[in-house]
Amino acid sequence: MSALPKRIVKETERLMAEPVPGISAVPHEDNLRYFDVMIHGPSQSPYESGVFKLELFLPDDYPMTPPKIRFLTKIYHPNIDKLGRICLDVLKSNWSPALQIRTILLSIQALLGAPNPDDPLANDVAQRWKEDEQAAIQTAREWTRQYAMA
Amino acid sequence: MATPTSSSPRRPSSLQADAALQKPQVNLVDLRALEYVDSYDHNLMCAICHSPFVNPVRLECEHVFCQRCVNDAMSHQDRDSRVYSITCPSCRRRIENRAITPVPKILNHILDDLCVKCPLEYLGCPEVKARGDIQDHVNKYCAYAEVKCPSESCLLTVLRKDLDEQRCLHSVMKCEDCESSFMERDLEIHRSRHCEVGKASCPDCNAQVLLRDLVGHIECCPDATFPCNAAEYGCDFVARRETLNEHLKTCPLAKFVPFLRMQNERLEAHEAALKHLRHRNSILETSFSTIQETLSPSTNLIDSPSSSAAGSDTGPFDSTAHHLLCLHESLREEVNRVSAAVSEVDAKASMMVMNESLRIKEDLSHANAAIGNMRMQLHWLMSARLQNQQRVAMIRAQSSGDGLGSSTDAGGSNRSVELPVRRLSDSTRQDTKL
Repeated sequence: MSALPKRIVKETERLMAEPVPGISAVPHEDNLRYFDVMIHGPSQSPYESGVFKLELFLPDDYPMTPPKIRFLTKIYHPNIDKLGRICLDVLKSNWSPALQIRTILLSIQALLGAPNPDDPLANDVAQRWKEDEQAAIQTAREWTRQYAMA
Repeated sequence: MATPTSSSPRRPSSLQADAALQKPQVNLVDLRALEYVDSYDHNLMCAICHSPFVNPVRLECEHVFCQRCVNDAMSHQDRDSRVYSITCPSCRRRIENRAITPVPKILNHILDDLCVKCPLEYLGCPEVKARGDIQDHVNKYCAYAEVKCPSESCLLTVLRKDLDEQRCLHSVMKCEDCESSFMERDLEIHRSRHCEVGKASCPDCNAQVLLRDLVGHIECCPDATFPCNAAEYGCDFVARRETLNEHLKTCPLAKFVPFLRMQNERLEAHEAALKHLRHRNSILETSFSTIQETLSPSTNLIDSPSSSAAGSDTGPFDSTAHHLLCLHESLREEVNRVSAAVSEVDAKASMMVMNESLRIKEDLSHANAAIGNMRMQLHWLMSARLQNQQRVAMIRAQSSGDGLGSSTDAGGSNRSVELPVRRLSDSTRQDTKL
């Protein structure tokens, strides 16, 4: 593998030196493009006090292409499917090379605080979210308690 | 601004034996990979590569990026044009026709002034330069840059600092310990840093240590012996670390060490001061002797008659005092005579000056008279000429007045009457000028 681009080194250094509150991202020692991410569920959301694990991989042409991110912890969310894939525009069509790991993780944290059932990835969840929001939120809380609390 | 210039063509380096030591010859410094010495303003950082801008360009939306970053971003957007449109990475504004413009020069100057470490720091170059000068540094000055081997027949490269050897450093030699082959230029680095076989025994504990670890081992070897702190002041005690500490508590000389050291320092300071004073003294002595030499002829004059008088006793004087008094008398007479002569000369000179000045005064008055005469003549000539002109003017006025009406005729004649008065005053003014 080619040498790590300066940009990735700098981003990693900054993530370590000034971590974002409620988010941690640690690179693997053997592959510095592969990060273990933990995101705390935002307060006043069904995911509050849950800690969600994600994996993040920076492809070879990062930052020209978006990082690949996936939830490892099971989560009940209309924009996140069973495999942990995330439906977020900035991870796909709206990616810009001026975005960075830290901003993307903040976007994901914000997505937890504001689910968007109109642009679903998990259709069943989105359906339920639209039909009976209270029940859906209740399920999300239960899942959080079950899977995202140690 | 460091313009990318390619210097000597890349030389084949695949022949080099040690792959770890073999780095491609750096011709073009990648400004993005440089290590910046000081922290720089975050506004100078490209949002794409997160380094200070390299060849910055400006998009329509006034966002600035490195030229290469914009190109990369656009080529990626092109490739996936079904999904992406060409937009500014910062504000997502559509950029029509890829309109990019240069940035103000001042931005480039600020960027070129940022201090960076030499890219060959990994080889040992300690230089820190302005970013704008780093390409020049690597191309022309850096002691660790690869240049062609001084040997004509050799196609390989050496570090610039090894050029002084003036010979080919590419003959293959064998490491004495690990038997692997290296070029001469790499052997030293191998021996001191990489060789895994070469061993040396510690002078104290006799343990076999890798050559490259020897220095570190000696520093922490438990068997290493050290002399007493007061060794230079006469304590012969030599022991291991822990015994030495106990000795230091009891050694009277060791207790004196700070005091003695201070005394030594004072002594050295005094010696230095003394040396300085000696030097000054010698200068003063030489100047004194030169003064004496210039004075000596006159003292000899006084001395020699007296000594001859004392030696022979046949001189006309009874004693030195008498002689001196006589000398004094004669000198006084001499002085009187000289002053009389001076006053005489003075009187003569003043007489001469007076005579001369009288004559000059006379000449001056003559000249003045002549000038007055000439002025009179000139005046007469001028007035004659003026009268002539007036007459001509009057005749002309009359002749033109004949062609015009009677009223203008009267005005014209009036003018011709006024004219002479004015001209007269002009002429008088000219006269005073003369």
